[in-house]
Amino acid sequence: MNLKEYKVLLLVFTSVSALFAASPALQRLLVYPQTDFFTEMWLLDPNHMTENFPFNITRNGKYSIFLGIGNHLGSCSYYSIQVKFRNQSQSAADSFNRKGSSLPPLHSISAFVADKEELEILISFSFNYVQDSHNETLSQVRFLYMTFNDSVLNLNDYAAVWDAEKSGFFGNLFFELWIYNGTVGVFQYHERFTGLWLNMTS
Amino acid sequence: MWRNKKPILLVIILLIFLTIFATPVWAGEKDAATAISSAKNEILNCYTAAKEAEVAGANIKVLVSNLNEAGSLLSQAELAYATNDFDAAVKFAVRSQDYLNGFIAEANTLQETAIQHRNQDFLINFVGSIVGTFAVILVGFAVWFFLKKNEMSRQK
Repeated sequence: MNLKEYKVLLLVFTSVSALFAASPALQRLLVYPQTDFFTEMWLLDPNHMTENFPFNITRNGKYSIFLGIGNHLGSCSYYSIQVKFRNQSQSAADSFNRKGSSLPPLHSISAFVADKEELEILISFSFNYVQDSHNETLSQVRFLYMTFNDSVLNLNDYAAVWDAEKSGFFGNLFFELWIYNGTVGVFQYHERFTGLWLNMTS
Repeated sequence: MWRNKKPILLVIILLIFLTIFATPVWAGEKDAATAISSAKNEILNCYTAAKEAEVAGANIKVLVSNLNEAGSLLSQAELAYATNDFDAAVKFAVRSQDYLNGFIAEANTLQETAIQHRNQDFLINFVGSIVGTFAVILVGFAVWFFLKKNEMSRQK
């Protein structure tokens, strides 16, 4: 083997070895920065699926769901989940205008989630309501209170009228996600919400 | 007869007045508001400490779990306050604060450890890697010159 052949072999060997030695440093330099910063929010049924969400509910019947939050904001975040309830005509959260519902929250849940982590909260609830009749036909459902994870939330000002199109009394239990902004020191609507429509006809 | 009853009536009215407007209710409310505000501040301070530890590269799973417990107690305190159950509000707010005892010290320790690990990691993986790369290239050159020198001396 002459020197020229050695040269090629040595060059290849040195290059491969240098690349191997440089790989830990390259790993740090060639990592693309995170460009999408967002929060996930989801609901799951009691079996951690999306098949058996409560819909037809009964008075004082107990139901449970899982509410999840996934943090992809690049740092630990402090969320407040505002629990709200409305009938079909009351203010809802709006995806297009990026605004939350103007209704006051019935309850707030504090949630801290580290970056790239998820948090799932088991939520159990029940509703107590009375059905008002007018001329022997049901005219409205008046809500009295709901239990939410064993806390009692007052629903005295809430009612649902008969929906002739869908033949039922419907209420929407929904959750708005708010995030703590440390710069201004307040919670701001984080443009995420999810919820369930519940049929209180039976 | 009316004269005899007048002082009794006055005492009864005074008692009723005291029952309705007596300070314990208001003191309870004020105490509850203070306890909740204090718990909120504590949670915010702890959250900031946890966030700083995370930025330094610490694993903050335990810290976040404690914050969630304290946050849950604070939510219960606020709910109790909203239903005028000020005793419960104070109880939950104090429990929330108790839950965070030693939190900031733990967060700071985790942060310091993470900084040490990060420096060590930087030294080994980054600086070490670059030095290693140059060493490999230098050895490559040295071998090349050695072989060249050998070849030249053989040709002579």
